[in-house]
Amino acid sequence: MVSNTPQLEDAHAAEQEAEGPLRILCLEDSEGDFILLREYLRDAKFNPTPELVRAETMSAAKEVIEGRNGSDTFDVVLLDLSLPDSHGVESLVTLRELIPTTPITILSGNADRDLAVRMVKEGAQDYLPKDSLNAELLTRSILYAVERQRSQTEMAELNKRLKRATEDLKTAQMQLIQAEKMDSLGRLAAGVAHEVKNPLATLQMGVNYFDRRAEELGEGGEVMVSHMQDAITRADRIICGMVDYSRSDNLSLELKDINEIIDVAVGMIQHQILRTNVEVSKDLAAGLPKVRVDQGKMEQVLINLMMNAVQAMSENGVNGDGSHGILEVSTFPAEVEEIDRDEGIRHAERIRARDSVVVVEIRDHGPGIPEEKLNRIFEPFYTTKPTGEGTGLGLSVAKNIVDLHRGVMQVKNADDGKGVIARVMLKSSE
Amino acid sequence: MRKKKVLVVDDDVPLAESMKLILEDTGNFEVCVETDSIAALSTARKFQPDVILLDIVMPGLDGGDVSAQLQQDPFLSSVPVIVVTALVANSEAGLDDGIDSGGQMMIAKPVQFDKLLHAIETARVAQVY
Repeated sequence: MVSNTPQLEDAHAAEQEAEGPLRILCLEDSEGDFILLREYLRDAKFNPTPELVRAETMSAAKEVIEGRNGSDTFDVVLLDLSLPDSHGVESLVTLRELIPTTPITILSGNADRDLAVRMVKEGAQDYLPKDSLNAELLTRSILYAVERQRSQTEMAELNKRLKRATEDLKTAQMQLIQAEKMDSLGRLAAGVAHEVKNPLATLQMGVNYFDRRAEELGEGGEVMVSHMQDAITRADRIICGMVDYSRSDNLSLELKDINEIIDVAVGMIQHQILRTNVEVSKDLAAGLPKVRVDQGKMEQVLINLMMNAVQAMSENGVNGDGSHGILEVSTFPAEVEEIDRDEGIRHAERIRARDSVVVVEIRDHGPGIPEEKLNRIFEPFYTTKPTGEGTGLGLSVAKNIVDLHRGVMQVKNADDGKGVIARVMLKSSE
Repeated sequence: MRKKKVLVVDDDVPLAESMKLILEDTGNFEVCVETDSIAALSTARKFQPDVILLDIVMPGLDGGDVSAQLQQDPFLSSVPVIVVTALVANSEAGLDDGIDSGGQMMIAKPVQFDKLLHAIETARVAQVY
């Protein structure tokens, strides 16, 4: 070990010359010990001569460190175990907080060697017994402490990078699995759709056949035919929804004003809204930047969100007290603050923090969604509606479409607990 | 009034027969069913339909092949063909009324009978681009 020292010293001598003098903070209240230490340092072969700063107390050390403004103020700290205002591990902890990456070497007397060893275990780089201290030992200890700290910092950095790489790999794997799942689901859905639609078509012809003879069937027969018709329509809707969900469609993107798309979408559901007691209130920001969207697909998303909102209000007693349910549709420009990590949308073009986005908010004043159900609403076939009234695919399809646009869709309960806010964020293209 | 002659080419036997039954039930149509696509051309030559309802996914020849054969036949090329398929949804092709705005007429299965009727009544020869 000793034979390695000259090499290390040589290497550091060269390095140190390039980087400037070593900056050493010495926490030592004993004048005699400090003078001795300074002598040893002078005898050591540091080139250029180290900058040695002394603090007699911990509070003086704090002042020095804070006066230097920042954590990268010293290359090494030499710490006496017994200071007038701080002792042992307490001193170590205080220094760690002030200068977390600076190596600390303990100066110990004979009496407190055990404590010194414990402090090395607690994170100090080394300890030096004052009674047997000499220039060579001091030089070596300082150089090793600096070197070890540098290795640890590098290691921590590498570790961080490794963690990030592992995380990225996991994400990529998730995406791959998801893509494969979607691909096989797509093929399955297309196959099932074809096989199921043919028998449905036969049933449809049968229902229409009997419907033409409604008078002969009597009341019970008519009701039965009507139920059969509903069943066929429902089955067909589910099949179409499944194909829709699984299809990784190519989008035909164009630069569009989202407000115009909202107007079209609202127009398309106008007659359905009229049947309910719901009023639409639009608050669309003027002069919004354009967004790159597939208009047809984005209309589908907005219609889905708005119809959910309308249903939430018309089904849940808003009508009961005679009040109008209000469907609020608003748009505004925003800068993204923070985005939840979402495997589905990890992509080079995905929305990141500080991106400029256009936000569409659709808010209802219904009863809201129970928190335990909120994190499941994007799952295919999950529905909060009564059997037969929702396929459980609408929101999944909508989210898929928004994901394909590299946008973000969020659905949450309003802060005041009254109703649901669905939000679609799309990257501004201007 | 002469009954309109409709040829149904579909390998799904119950469906083809149901179509025949309900169309003939109106009293306005004479329907011939062909469930073997390979025989579709010769059946069409014999039957001389006014309209053909043609499935796409069939063993042997698919709807596209049969359609091409019909177009090459001097006596059948002017007969309107309506494609009735489980491959698309009405909304996808923009065919909610069962009629395409141009090109091939197409209907998605399952089809409501009134839409089928409307399609047959307004059927015309596909425009070739």
